[in-house]
Amino acid sequence: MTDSIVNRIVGTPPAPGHHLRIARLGGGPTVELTEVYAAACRVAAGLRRLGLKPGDRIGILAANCLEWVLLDLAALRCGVVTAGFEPGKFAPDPALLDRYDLALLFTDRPEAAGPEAGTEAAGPDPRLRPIDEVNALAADTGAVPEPVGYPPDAITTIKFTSGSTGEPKGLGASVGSIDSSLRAVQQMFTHGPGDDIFVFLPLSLLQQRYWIYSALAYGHDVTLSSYEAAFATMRRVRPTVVMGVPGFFEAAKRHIESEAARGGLDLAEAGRRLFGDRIRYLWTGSAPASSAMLRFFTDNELPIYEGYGLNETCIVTKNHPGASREGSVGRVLPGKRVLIGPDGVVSIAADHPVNVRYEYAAPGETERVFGPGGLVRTGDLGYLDEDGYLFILGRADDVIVLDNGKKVIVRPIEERLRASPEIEQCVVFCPTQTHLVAVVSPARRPADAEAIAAHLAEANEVLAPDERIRGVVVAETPFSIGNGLLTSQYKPRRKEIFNTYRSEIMAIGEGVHVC
Amino acid sequence: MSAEVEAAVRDRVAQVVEDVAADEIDLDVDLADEYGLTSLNKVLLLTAVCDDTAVDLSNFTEHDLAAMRTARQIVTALSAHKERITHV
Repeated sequence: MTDSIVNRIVGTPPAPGHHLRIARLGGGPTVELTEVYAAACRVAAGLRRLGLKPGDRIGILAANCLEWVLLDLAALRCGVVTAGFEPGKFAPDPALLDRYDLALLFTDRPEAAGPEAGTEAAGPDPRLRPIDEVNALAADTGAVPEPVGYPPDAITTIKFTSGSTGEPKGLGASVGSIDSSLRAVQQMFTHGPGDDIFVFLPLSLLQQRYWIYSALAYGHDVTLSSYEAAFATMRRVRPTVVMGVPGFFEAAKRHIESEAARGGLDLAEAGRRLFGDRIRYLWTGSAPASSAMLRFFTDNELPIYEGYGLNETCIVTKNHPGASREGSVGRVLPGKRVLIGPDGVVSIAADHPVNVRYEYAAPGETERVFGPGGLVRTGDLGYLDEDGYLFILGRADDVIVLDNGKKVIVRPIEERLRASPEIEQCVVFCPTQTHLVAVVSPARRPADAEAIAAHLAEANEVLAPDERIRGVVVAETPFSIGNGLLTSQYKPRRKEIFNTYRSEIMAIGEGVHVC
Repeated sequence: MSAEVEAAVRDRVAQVVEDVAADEIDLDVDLADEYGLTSLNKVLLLTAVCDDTAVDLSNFTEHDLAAMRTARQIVTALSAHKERITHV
């Protein structure tokens, strides 16, 4: 247990001189990490006073804030399991507490205040607590509980998939998996004094909390922002590392190009004006990134590194300054093994699996995804090159088998179409097993059907005959999280897109049609 | 409403929606529904307009941003802060 990073950060004060900065719109405090640690210890005492025992579970449903961090660290210290819920995706109601066996749910959502006084069901559920209450807990003067010593298979938190349909799947994350991920990332990127890691994705995602843990363990600054504030605050904060997803970096790329053209700047200068002038590297993951976007940043003095991992595996591979290969998602991390099946499907084994089963999932899901010893069947198609770099080709589910027996992997085709500046997203379907149809979300409105048609013709020229797109349905309304056609991590929801445009997909002939 | 802020908002919306001239931008339609702005586009738009007009984006909260759905709402919100700057 002595070499556990989790055990170290809950039981040992961090080195002085490093800070957690909250940079939401409207500002936020900057707190030395030593004080974050001390406050978390007091919150841990407060949690004990509220009657929480090791193994009990609390939920946190709130936007990124200092209180989120304190609750998480306090729970870690006293052995209380956290469940992070993404705002907007979950509602702070008693049913949530019941479903996930939560003793308490801390939230910043106003609707948690419950029905108005005087109504039949007056009075909020006492298990629902405003997250501001953490500030009162941080003033607790009771005895600080001794830190829990976690064995590698202990569960500290429940994490949820951003699944495209139905109830999110949930599984516990083991201390061993968190330790091995933190250690491997540190080995690759050597974060330390002078670094400031910029985090704006929700802390409900465990991997975003890793950067708080990393700051405590390795002594660097970390800035916690929000999705809305990210673009405005990066240049002011001047981080050295920005954690993002491809959708974020695609938007940043378009903005940089546009600002460069508008102001007569070179692209690197326009990039510095958005990200600040201290960027060491940009981190992208959670969804496939286009090669054009990756190349753009790297060519303009903002090196960007793509990796690969699932909720069920944590990080598996990562490109990094010491080992990076274009088109790949990097080499396999220590403690992880990539196994390629005879059908080309990628499975992952780990010395310290995240878990060996889902705690919350539809019947049969655990058996479908997990094999013996926590082996995870990813459902992705890929291969390892001679130097051990992993290349992901697409989802096994996205292989289309035509009526002539030819197998078509749609992701490279989709990526080829997305290379057009007129196309934001693209999903390929095969409605009749004879030909392919693409549904595209335009990069601007109204869509430029002529430019899309020209790009389609260019793409078809280099594609094999069976891979050619016969027709393109251009969505009049771009895919968005709001209209349910993108996941919260900006991945297209394939089934929903098909259902929305089913009649157009089935009816389309050749060419480009705006619907 | 500040004419300077309105001009900046029109200019920046037109930059995103390339086929509509700045003076043809309808200030009262939903930017997402009518002009196809994604939520990230909207954040970038607001960031740029604040830069152009010297209004500090940190005057607003995340909730304020979510509530700004039309160009006119953006113009009105930024104009209030522009007024304050002008009168200091």
